[in-house]
Amino acid sequence: MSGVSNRSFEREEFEKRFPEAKITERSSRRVYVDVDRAQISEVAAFLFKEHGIRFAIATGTDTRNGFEILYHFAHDARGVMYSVRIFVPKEDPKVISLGSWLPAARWIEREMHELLGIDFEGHPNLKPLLTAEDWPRDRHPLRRGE
Amino acid sequence: MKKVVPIGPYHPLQEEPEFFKLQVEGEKVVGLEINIGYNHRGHEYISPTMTWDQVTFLVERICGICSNSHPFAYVCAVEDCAKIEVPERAEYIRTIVDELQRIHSHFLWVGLAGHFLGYNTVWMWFWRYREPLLDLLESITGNRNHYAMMKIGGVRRDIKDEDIPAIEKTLNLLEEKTALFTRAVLDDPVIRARLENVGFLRTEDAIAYGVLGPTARGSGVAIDVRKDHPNAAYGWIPWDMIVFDECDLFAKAKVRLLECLESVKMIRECLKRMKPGEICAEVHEIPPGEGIGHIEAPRGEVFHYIRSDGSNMPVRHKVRAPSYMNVASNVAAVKGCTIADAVLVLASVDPCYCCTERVMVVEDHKKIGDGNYLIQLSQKRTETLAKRFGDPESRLRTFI
Amino acid sequence: MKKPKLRELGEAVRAVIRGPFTLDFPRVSSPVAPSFRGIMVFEEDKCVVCGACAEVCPAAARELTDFPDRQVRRITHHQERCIYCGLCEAACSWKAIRHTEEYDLAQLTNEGYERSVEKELLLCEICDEPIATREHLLWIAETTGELAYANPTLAYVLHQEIEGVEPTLPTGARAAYRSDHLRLLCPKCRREVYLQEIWGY
Repeated sequence: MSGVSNRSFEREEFEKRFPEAKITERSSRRVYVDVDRAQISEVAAFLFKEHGIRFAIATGTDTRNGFEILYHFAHDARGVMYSVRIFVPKEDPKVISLGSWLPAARWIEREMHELLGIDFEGHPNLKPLLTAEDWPRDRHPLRRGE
Repeated sequence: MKKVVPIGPYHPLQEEPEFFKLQVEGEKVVGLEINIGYNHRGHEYISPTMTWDQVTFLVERICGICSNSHPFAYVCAVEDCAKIEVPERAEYIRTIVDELQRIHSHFLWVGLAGHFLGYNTVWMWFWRYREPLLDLLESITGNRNHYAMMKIGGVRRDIKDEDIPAIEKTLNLLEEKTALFTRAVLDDPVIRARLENVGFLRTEDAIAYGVLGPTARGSGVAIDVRKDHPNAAYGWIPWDMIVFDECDLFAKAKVRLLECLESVKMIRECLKRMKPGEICAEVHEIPPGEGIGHIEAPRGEVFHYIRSDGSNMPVRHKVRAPSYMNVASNVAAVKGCTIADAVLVLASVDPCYCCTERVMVVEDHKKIGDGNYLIQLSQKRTETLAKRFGDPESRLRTFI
Repeated sequence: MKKPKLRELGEAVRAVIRGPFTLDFPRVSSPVAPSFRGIMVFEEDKCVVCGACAEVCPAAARELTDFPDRQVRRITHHQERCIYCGLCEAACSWKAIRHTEEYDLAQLTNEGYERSVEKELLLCEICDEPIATREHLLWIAETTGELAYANPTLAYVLHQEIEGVEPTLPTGARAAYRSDHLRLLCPKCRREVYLQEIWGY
């Protein structure tokens, strides 16, 4: 079995590296991690580059507390889904792009950019992905009240 | 001098709306630009306007081929949020329907790939044996596609005992024919010449792009949601993951063909172990929270995320089909291919959108040909190879 | 490669003998499995026009409309919108809906796809708002058994059924009064009547 290495890591290792992260285990297979948006690239690099955990997808939601982005990492070796949550304030909808080093995140960041209006800094190609060419670029369909 | 060959907004093989701009130098493809979004229907926008049970039918119609995968992943997501225990018999029925769907989807792909290669007999034979399978699904679920089987907490219909002999008869037929045709296809030297060492998707690229399903398993990435994150009955029955290291199109074709045989074994195991019982748990409300459901569709991992605020409608529903990750990886897979091969490479990820139709090949603003032109190009190449192999008249090949 | 060719030869011979799998539909009928989810039929004598099917339909193919002037409630089925999911069949407590084995809907015009059932609608004697259909209230009364007599609306409907008394006509809205206890009332007016009875005028 060549190719993927899906090395497990212990929770202590994660907590030592990211002491401000808040970890909630909703079940044996679902772990939610709340981090600050400035740290998302390091957390993603820890999970993907160092431990080979597959990036499944990201989910953007317009909530009362800002834009909530959940990055879902599927730990196939252990059967656990890690969902890393960040909040992006609506007045300053910017976050560092994972797509600059992770090809798997490029399309979903483009989608979140056009549907929610979040700016991913450093993305190689932040063009719209799904909406029509003539869709007005200041209208974001998944924002509440639009 | 770079020439741009646009393939789209309709793919000639899969009849899927995608726009690929191949940058070609001479005969080789050096780059690819992908435009999608022609089938953006706004499911995530519609879901919060329907009740929990109605959304099952909305997501069923995301795709016709893997129409069971989306409701399956969705009900798993809601059950994850509300911590609902699904009865054992319902898990077995879910597995059976899902595996039957996998066989029919792989047959469809192999048939279309055969057509594109010029092996129209392969196409007709695989689709002919897909019919008893669809008839079986009709007698179990009520329809050939869009099975309406998944329900939050279980399944909607039971598999009756008097149906089981018919299921077993169809499974025997499928197993016999799949084994026969698989050997026929894999032994053919011309098919091997067309598919081997073509469309190389290196393992590192497969991991970087996060590809899923047979696309990943043909590139040595041993991931399968059924093994890694087992739900339904996948953790209770013995079965093998099919993985090949060669990273080319032939590996992907082998994965899909052998998976059909594996699915037949899985269905037999489920039927053996199924005990009488309830088919649905009682669900009264979905409490506030969030849930993630993911299952292995024929093309890879289907991922659903829902958020509930305690009311009778979801607040947020995220759907991610496997083709989202797989199609993006075409950028890496298609480099170095010829145009005739490129179209097959683009189809090898088994893209699943829906159906529309227009394609053009232009050179210097002059239209050279359309979708049929590309198919003929590919079939002509097969003819050339066949002559080289001294096998000009294969019984599997008829040029319709 | 002789042996593989023999394999395929066997299959090819079988295919020639059997002929094509495709049926010459519609000249030849294409039968479906008995459990096929085909076009739905609605049985008028069983349906009470409660609207449960309209609530659950994902495709909005069932439409509930009230006609207070004619005192009827109508349920309409838009066949062209139906997705054959069977949720209405599961939701109907009277088994008035079922799938048939028909699937051929093709016709030359766009009309004629609607089917509807109409039943008598009872209106509140005070506010003239629709309560429910007579058959629906009758079913509730009969199913509740002797407890139905705790609710004068249900008792009244039952009474009319047994005695064959003419149903009352709407008298127009007016202020609730004690004798309105024994009238056909909607839940809102019934609450008002009871509260005013307890607290007085």
